[in-house]
Amino acid sequence: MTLTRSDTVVVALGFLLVSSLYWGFWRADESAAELVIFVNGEKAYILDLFEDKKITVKGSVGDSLIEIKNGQARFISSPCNTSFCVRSGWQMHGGDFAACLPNSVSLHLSGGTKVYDAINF
Amino acid sequence: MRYALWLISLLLAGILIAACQSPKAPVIFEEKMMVMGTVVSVTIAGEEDKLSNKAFHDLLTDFKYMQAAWNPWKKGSLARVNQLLPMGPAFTIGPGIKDILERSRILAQKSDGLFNPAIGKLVKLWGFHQDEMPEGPPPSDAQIQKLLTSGLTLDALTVEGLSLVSRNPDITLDFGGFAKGYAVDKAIEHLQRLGIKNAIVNAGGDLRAIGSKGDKPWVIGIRNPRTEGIIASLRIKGDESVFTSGDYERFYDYKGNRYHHILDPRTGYPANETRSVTVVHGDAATADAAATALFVAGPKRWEEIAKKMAVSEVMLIDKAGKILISAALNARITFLDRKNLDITVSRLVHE
Repeated sequence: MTLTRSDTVVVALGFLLVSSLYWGFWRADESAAELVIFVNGEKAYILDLFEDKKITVKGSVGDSLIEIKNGQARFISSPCNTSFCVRSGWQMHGGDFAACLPNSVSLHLSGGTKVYDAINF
Repeated sequence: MRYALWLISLLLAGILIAACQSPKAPVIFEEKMMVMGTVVSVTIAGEEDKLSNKAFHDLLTDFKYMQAAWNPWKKGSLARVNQLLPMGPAFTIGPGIKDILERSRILAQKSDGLFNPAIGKLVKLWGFHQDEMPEGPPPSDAQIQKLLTSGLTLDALTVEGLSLVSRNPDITLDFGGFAKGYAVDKAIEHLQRLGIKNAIVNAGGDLRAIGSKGDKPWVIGIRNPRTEGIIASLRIKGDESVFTSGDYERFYDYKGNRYHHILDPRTGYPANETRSVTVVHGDAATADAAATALFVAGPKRWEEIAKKMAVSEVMLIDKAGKILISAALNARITFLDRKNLDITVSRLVHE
């Protein structure tokens, strides 16, 4: 018994269907969808991560400049002398987090599948 | 041929059905609060929202209380103790302060004095006691030596019942290298009392995790102390704390030199052989104190001090970026780019 050309096509389509279903439903979507900016512990902004923009956030000691680009967010500048927030770089996964504690401004990414349940630093 | 096709179709259908029967992820509650000078995040898995919300608000109240009580410099229980310590006569302290003092005294002794909550005046001299970062200049060597010669250790304090007396007027208590861990332990204890079995309390990157996330363990990312992103990840086993002390947390630059907040109680200057130390341990208070002590101990003495403090899972990154890691932690940590890292595994063994 040999597979005809039609059989091969049907089998190939079957595998393709299952693979695409797996890809669509089971692959972890790690990209975050939303940026929540906290100021002084309160939710101040909820922003779409896929709408590129720069935003100035007034914190407790000055202005923090935050950039959103291609589903990622970062501090560009902040009025602290450690620049720990700026050096944290781009945040892109659900659950990612960066904060400028002196200015009481923090970025929290939500949505998507979290790669890490918490970040230690 | 038709049988073969039927067989393949059945197989595919089976895979799809099996996929649909995969276990459902538990409900995750996550909220954040800004207390104790940092962002505290509370994550709870698999509980009703009502209970999670109650737990979060209980913790918010507790953290606010601890923040006020344990601040060495602002009005509160510890500030009162610091005000009375140099005056001489014995005075009464609250049971909360007594407990934190006694626990930190044990850890200070085990660390050979490298974790030392009696150096509050030294911390203040460097300007790291305030919320705002100092800009320099650093204190003079004469000022530092004058404080050190007086003998800043908890041995100069005697506690009898709730009575405390100091033999050294230069001692000011600052539980900075311990209070966060102690507070995280208290928070986890409270969650457990409420019947919550699966949770993470993360205080500004230092955390304790209990239980799991459904059928999967909690996964913690450890941030690189110098560059962007994560250096390694760790799967939590039941109930563990992960604490890191780093030179990047609070520092200032003055005339080309960097001065950070982790002071070596022996020299009075910032400990300068280490970038960061990560400790994985059961209770958060020990992990917190050990991370501070091992940072000060540096690459030469970290194994000796880790043994004394009975912590077996440690990663130290020295000032050149070289990673020194205990075998116990190395066996379970996942480095994201191991082949490009300079890693030395230590045979650190518990005594």
